[in-house]
Amino acid sequence: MALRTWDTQPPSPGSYPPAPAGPDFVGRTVSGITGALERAIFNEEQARLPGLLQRIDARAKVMATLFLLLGTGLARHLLPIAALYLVTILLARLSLLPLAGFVKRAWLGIPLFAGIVVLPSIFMLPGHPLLTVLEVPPFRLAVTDNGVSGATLLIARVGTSVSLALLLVFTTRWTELLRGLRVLGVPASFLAVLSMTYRYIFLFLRGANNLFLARASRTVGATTGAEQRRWAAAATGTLVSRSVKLSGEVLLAMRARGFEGEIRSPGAARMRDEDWLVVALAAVVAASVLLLDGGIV
Amino acid sequence: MHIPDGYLSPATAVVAYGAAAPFWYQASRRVRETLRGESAPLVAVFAAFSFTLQMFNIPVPGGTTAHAVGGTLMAVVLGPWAAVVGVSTALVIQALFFGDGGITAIGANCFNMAVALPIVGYAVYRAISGAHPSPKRRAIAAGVGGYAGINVAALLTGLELGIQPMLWSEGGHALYNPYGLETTVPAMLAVHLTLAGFAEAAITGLAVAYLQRAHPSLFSPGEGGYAPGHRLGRAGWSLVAVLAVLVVLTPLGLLAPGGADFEWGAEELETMVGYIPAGLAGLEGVWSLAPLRDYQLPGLGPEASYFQQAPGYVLSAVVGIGLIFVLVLGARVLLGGRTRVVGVGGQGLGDED
Repeated sequence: MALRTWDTQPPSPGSYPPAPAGPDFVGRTVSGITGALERAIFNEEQARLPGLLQRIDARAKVMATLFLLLGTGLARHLLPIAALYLVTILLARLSLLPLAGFVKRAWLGIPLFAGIVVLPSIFMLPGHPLLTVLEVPPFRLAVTDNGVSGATLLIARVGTSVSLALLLVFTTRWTELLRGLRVLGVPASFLAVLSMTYRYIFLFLRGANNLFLARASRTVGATTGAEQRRWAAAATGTLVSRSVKLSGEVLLAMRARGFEGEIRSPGAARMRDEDWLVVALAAVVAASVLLLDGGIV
Repeated sequence: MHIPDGYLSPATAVVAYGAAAPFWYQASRRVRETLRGESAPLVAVFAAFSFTLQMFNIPVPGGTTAHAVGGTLMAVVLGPWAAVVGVSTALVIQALFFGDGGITAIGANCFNMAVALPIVGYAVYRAISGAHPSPKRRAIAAGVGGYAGINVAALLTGLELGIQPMLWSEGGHALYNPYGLETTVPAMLAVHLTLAGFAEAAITGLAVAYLQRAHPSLFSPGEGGYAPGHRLGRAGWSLVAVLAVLVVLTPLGLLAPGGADFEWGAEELETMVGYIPAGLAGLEGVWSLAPLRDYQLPGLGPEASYFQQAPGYVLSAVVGIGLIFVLVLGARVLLGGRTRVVGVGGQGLGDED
C-alpha cells in the first residue's frame, strides 16, 4: 500500500505561518509556573538545613521579622538601613543559606525593578545639581542630590525588606509558618483555608502546566491573538469547573473523616527561651537602629 | 500591581490593613452564612485557582502578554464575598510563602486587588447584566466588570503610591515611593486602561462565555450554582459607599495647604485652628509629669514638638526593656535552662491527603 504523500513528505515551506521567535504566551506561562514550583521546593530544602534560624520557633521568627521590617520601614537614612541589611546577611550566613543565591534572589527581582523605576526620579526631583547631563537653556537635565539620595534610600529599603522576608521564607517550613501566623491573631479557620490552599496550589499549577504543555505540543506555526485569548479563556474556564468539582470532592472527603463544619486546630507548643531571645534581640536591634536614625541629621 | 515592601510608609500600610479589615470581616461572615460548613474547601480551592490564574500570560494586542487577577470572574461565579476571601488568601500566600509582594503591604495589596477589584467588578457586572441576562449579555457584562474592577484597583494603587512623597519627605527627598500622584496615577492607569485591562476583560468575558456553555448549572440558582452568595447586601454597599467617599477625599485632603504635615505640637495647632484641643492639652500635661521628660531623640532640639519627641522615649524604652530580656534569656539559654519541646502536633484539617 502506498503511503499518502503527507505522511512522507515534509510540508512545503510557507504552508504554515512560521512560529514567532522567542517564547510565546504558552512558553512564558510554563516557565513562570515551573519557576514557582522550583522556588517552593528550594525554600523547603533550605528550611530543613541545620542552621540557626531553622531551629527557632516560627512564631518568634514572624514577630522578629515584623520588628525588623518595621525598623527598615521607619528608618529615614541610608546608614541604619545598611546596618539592618548587614544583620540580615549575618543571619542568612548563620542559617547556612547559600549567600550568593540569597543575595541574588533578593536583589535581582523587585529591587532591580525598583532601581529601573526610580531611575528617572534622580533627574526629576528638584535639588542641588550633581552632574549635568544635558543643558539646552532654559532646560537643564541634571542628576540632583535629592534625586540620588531618594532613589538610593528607596532601593536600599526595598532590597532590605525583601531580604528580610526571604530570610523568613527560606528558614521556615510552610507548615510551621502557618502556625506562626496564629501569633498575629489570624483565626484558625482562615489558617485552615491557607493551609488547604497551599496544597491545592501545587495541584493547580501542575494541572495548568499540563494544559499549556498540551497546547504547545499540538500547535504548529503561528496562531492569532484572538485565537490565543479564546484558548487561554477556555483553559481558565476549565480550571474554574475543575475547582467547583474538586471543592465538592474535598468536602465529601472531609465529611468522611468526621468533619462537621467546625475547624479546630491543635494547641500551639510553648515558645522556648531561645525563641523569646530572638524576638527580644530583633526588637532591640530595630529600636537601636531607629535611635541611630534619629541621631543622624 | 503587587506593591512590594518599602514603597509604602508603615503608617500607610497600617491604614490599608484597617481599610481591608471590615471587608475581610464581612466577607468571612457572609461566606460562612451562605455556604455554612462547606466554605473552607470551596474558598481554598478557588484561592488556589486565583493563584494559578495570576501566573497565566494572557496575549494582548501588540504581541505582548499581561497577567490577569481573575477577581471579577470569581465574583461572577461564586459571589463577591467569596472572591474577597479567595483572592486575599492567594495574595497572602504569594507574599508569605513565595516572597512575591510585600509582607507589610499585604493590607494594601488585598484592599486593591482582593476587595476593590472584585466588588467593583461585580457591581458593574450586575448593573449591566440585569436580572435575567442572555448568555451574550452576561459574558459582555462580566468582561466590562473585569475591566472596571482592575482599573479601580490600579487607580487605588496609584493613589497609595502617589501620596507617599506628599506625606513623607525629608529635606526635599522622598522617604518612600518618590513619585507624586501626578505621575503614579497616570502611569498605573496607562497600563491598566490598555494592556492589563484588556487581558482582564478578555479572560473574564471569554471564561464566563465558556462556562455558560460547558457548565450552565453554575449560573442557575438552585441547581448547583452559588446564587445565595450573589449579593453585596446592605452592609456591603454601605462599606463600599464609605470607602468611595474616603478614597475621593484622601487626595483632596492632602492637597490642602499644610495638610501633609502631621507633626504638629500644641502651639502649631493653636495657631492653625485657633485653640488647643482639650485632649492634646491634657496629654501634654501628663507628659510633663513623667520622669523621662528630658529624654530626647538625639538630634532633636528643645523646640521639637511632642509628637517628634515621643518616638524617642518609646524607642529608648524598647531598647532598655529588650536588653534586660536579652540578658536574662541569653543567660538561661547559655546555662542550659532551655525547655525542649517534642512532638509538635500536625496542622489540623489541611494536613490530610
